[in-house]
Amino acid sequence: MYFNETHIAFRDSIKRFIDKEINPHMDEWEETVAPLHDLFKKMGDLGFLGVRYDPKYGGQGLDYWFETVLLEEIGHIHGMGVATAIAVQTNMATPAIAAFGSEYLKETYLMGAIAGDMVAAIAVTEPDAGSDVFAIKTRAVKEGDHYVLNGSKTYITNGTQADFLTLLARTSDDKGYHSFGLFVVPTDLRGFHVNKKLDKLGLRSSDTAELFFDNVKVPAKNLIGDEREGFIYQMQQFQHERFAILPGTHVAIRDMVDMTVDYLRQRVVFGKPLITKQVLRHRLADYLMKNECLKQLTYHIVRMKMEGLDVTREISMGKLYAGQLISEVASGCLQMFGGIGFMTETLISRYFRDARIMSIGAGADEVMSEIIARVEGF
Amino acid sequence: MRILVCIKQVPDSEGFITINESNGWIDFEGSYRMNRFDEFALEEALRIGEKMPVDSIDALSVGLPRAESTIRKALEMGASRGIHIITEESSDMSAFETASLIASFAREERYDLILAGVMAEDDMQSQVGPMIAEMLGYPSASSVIYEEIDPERRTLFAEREIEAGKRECLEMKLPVLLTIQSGINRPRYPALSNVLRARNQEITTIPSQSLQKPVKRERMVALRYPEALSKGIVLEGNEGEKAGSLLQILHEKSII
Ligand SMILES: Cc1cc2nc3c(=O)[nH]c(=O)nc-3n(C[C@H](O)[C@H](O)[C@H](O)COP(=O)(O)OP(=O)(O)OC[C@H]3O[C@@H](n4cnc5c(N)ncnc54)[C@H](O)[C@@H]3O)c2cc1C
Repeated sequence: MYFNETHIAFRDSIKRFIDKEINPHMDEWEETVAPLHDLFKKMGDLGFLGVRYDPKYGGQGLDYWFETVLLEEIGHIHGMGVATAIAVQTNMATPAIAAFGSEYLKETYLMGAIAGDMVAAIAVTEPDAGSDVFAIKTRAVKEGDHYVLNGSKTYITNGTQADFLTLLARTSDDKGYHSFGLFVVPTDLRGFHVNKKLDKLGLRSSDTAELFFDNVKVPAKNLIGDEREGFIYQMQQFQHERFAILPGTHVAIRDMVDMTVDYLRQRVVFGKPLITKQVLRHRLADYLMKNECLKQLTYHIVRMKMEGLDVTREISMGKLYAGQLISEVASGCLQMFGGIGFMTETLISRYFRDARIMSIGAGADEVMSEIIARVEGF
Repeated sequence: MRILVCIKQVPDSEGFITINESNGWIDFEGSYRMNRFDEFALEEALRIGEKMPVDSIDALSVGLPRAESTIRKALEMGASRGIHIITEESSDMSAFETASLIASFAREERYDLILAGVMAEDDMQSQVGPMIAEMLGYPSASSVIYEEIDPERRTLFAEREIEAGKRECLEMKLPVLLTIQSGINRPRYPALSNVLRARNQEITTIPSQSLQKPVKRERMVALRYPEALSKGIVLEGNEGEKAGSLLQILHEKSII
């Protein structure tokens, strides 16, 4: 109903790419993390990294439905780390450059990211400020034709491989939200250090880093838009970030249910295949029912975006529900696999570990609930 | 430089083929896709197009109306024009008939280079390419694993695979027909911009009846399953008895 032949052809070409160029490497990349320059170059050549962006900068100039096709298909990747790395590049670190960046920033960084020549990261979170973005301490002080940057960022996806960071920093001590700037920070500047690659429970194919800025001189032309409006830009960028999680989540949930059904058909317990047990059949049916709700909410959000409506309320609900549901299903499916589900060799165990981040990253569940309550006026 | 690539739509090997006794042909449950060897041929043509100025890379398929989807795939990969010689009968087309139809079309078009896969995965005849070359009077090389064109001299250098991985090197004057072996390159994935272009692109359709009618030279009399060569044996009895009979069999066959 929502997708025509062109969407389907696009879907096929991404699927083929993932089946041949990503999934066969996932076990290895879980150990080593995905080599993003190589992967993104291939994807950039195929036009996958700029679906919605202006053709002037190498994008395809397509609408949110095409973007949804891409975001759904990366949900089929065997592990959410690589999907996260891709979504950072397309939906988390670049939308603000496209929306508010100067011609220079778009021609240099947006174009580089779309072509896959540059790896992007989004640097907001700090050791002392996660959910409370307002509390960040990294500072950018203007001196002549550059800003001097000091501070640190943590849990930054793609952080060890990034060529540039879209970074939020405080630019003034004024109270209120108009005291932050959003910058494009190249990672080859003096004083920039990747402190370490962090070791994580899940998303192991994605690199997550702690970054450190010691008097880094960022050219003034690398400021996105107005030096006092960074917080507002980032809040808008968060909407793209949070939306990006939804399509891949309902697809990954469906894949988990499918792989569980396959297993239950073969696994004979008490003389019969497990799939005949009503309690398990019904539980799987419940997962699919809930997943259908998530999928339909996702499509509803796309329709609203196509109409240019404010989707903060719906995206917050979608993100909250996606995070809760994927963990519920991953845990429930692992349960049905039994002991083998607990083994690293089984894909469901990777999904179980990866699913957990969905309720924490890009705004924790409680933060989503808080936004919903606020939008509802209580 | 004008290039023609011959592509065939074949049943995907993940599908299920059965012989239909009533119509003497097959039933197929599954999806269709481009013959893999033709993907290599098309990729080779696209690479030539990236190396030197090429006026057109045409992808042609002889087949039922459903072959259109495979021609679209070729456009998605980057072919400039799609040509569909539409046939109606679903039963066997001999290699000679297919080659005759393609040659009858290609004769007018005066291609400098015609590429085909070394064989079709389904029929495995390896005949269509060489036959077209013969009909058009082009020099040809089969099972080509490397090629290089010298546009100045209008020559083509080709390496073909021969026994034990050795290579035979040939030089030919254009126009030339090559059948392409797998492994010559890595076929690309369709770029999104080509996927979009391919959707709206007109495909030239030619009813097979409008071309020179080929004479059928071979008649297929039957399709057959191979006779089972060896059968499995299920051993009877309890574990001890089964182990005993297995041991006996292994001794009889002098395996242990
Ligand atoms: C793998 C990974 C990748 C990440 N990638 C990036 C990235 O690329 N860029 C980036 O900037 N950040 C990134 N992050 C950071 C992520 O966005 C933060 O971890 C997240 O926003 C939560 O912040 P925090 O960790 O500081 O938790 P805190 O803010 O300390 O919150 C801890 C917990 O407290 C609860 N809580 C928080 N606020 C409230 C509230 N108002 N009411 C009730 N309870 C509340 C929640 O349960 C929350 O999980 C990543 C994190 C991880 C783990």
